[in-house]
Amino acid sequence: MKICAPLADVNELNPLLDLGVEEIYAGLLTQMWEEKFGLVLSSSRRYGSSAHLKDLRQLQTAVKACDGRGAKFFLTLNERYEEEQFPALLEIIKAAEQLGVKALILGDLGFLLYLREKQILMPLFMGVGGNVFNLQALSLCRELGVSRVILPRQLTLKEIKTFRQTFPYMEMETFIFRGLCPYIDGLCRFWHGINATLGIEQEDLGCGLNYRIKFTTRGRISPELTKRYRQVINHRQSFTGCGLCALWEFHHTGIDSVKIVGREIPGPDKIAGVKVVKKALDIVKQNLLSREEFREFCRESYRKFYRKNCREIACYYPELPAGKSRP
Amino acid sequence: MMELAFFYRQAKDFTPAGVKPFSRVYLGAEFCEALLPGAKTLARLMEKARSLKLKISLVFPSLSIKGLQQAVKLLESLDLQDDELVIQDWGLLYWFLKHRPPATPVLGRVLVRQKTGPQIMRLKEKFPQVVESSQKIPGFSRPFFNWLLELGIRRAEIENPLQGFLIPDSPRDFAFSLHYPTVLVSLTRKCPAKIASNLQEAVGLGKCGKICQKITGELWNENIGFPLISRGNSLLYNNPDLPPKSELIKLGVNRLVYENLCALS
Repeated sequence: MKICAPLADVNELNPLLDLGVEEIYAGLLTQMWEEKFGLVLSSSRRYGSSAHLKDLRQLQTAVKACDGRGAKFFLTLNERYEEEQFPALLEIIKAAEQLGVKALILGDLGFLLYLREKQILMPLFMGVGGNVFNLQALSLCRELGVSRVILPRQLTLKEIKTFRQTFPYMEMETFIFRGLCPYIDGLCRFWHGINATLGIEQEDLGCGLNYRIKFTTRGRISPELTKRYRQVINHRQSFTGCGLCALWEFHHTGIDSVKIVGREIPGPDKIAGVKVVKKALDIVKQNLLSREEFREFCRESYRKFYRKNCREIACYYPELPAGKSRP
Repeated sequence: MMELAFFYRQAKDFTPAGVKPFSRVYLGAEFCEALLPGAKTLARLMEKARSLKLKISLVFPSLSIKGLQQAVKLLESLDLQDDELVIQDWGLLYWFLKHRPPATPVLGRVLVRQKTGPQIMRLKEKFPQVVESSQKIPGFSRPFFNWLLELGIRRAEIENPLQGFLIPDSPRDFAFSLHYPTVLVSLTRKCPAKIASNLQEAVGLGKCGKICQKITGELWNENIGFPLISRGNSLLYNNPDLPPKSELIKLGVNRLVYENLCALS
């Protein structure tokens, strides 16, 4: 099982590769793209230049560095696109193919079909935009030539295991650290990048805001329920997402790769997060701790990293026993 | 000619007065598999709809492994008579293609995935061109339409977000249904209604008490700039301002689907 780590700046490359990361993914936001399409029509579901590589030269540096260290570089083009964006994307992809990018992470079925038409032979991964929530959806992806599926972050461990057992030869990637939006990536229609367009530094993700809430009810609804509803809504976005404990299950289930979220996170912080996952993964691979000891190790790692106890609301795989606090 | 449809929600919808302007009814659940009716209930509703001379569109939401098994079982139990099947899950589409039940497939609005978040309107003053370009529905491309036609899909469902909508060039024999007034913004598996009603399950894994039928929350934040409605696993808003029918027909819309999910029935 490999770690798939995010990248936005070529200066982050060596520290990541030094940690033994074997897969790296990044988006590319060129000046041309930004000028032509703006920030809200992003090329890769992240907004602002700090979350992306900025030009083909940086892409080349990244691919070369990965090749030299036995790692694979994947290019993220996981937005839903307008057809007028296809030629600009194809240009990027042809360059990426020549540079030796190992796969494309996609989220738009129409774009995938377009790439097949254009005889792009690079392996295609279906990202969370593919909404692969059941086995038949995965069959469809396979028939469309997808070689890896990045399973939605809302799946349960039981569902992931079923996927793995039913499709033993399909590459599968699951989420493991950071991020964790409560909304389903592939079914969410919030705009991102509005504040960035307006020049406001603070993010404006609809899922992370605090809302004033006025309830309409029918029949008997307890005040305790409305209180709790309010709490759930206003503690939704957890950028402190974690699924470390599940590394044990993923290793034994045979998941191919685990994804760390956060292309936009500043370099040192990003690398610190990868270190946490790497350490935990090494323990699992070398079978150094029992399952229970490993869970305790993960909880402790979470406490040290985020400086708070792990909580169910921040847990990717909450069917595993987590901390005690509630949202 | 504009076809008028409505989403069935309660018994009084099926009175002669209730169905008066409509020639089609939508039955099923759009956003949550826990709300899918049972086989007997659905069969009874279909029979009633036929007796009222209503055409039928059966709607299924995004489906889990278990949910898809249940949906297939439900579909196999029904007496389909060239009804429409509104598909909102790639797995259900795959099943449909392999089994070809006697129904006409339609691509549902969940899979069309129009961008609908109201925050885009904050750019209206300073960046009107961004708001204008946000009207285009992403994902609707020539390869995608061609693929849908190959599969026998000739209709897709769209929404009426605050910024308006523009359908990119679509094949001549492809039609669109427009849902109104409710616009979907987002869906979650961590349903706040379910979590709030089940104190043992902080993340909503437990059994569902369908409390979403009894409570909605109106959400307000300045950064969004428009009230959102939290109902069950969905985040929605209402936009009752429809373009004139003549304009809709020019845009390729020949069916209006009425459903007010923001209000408790």
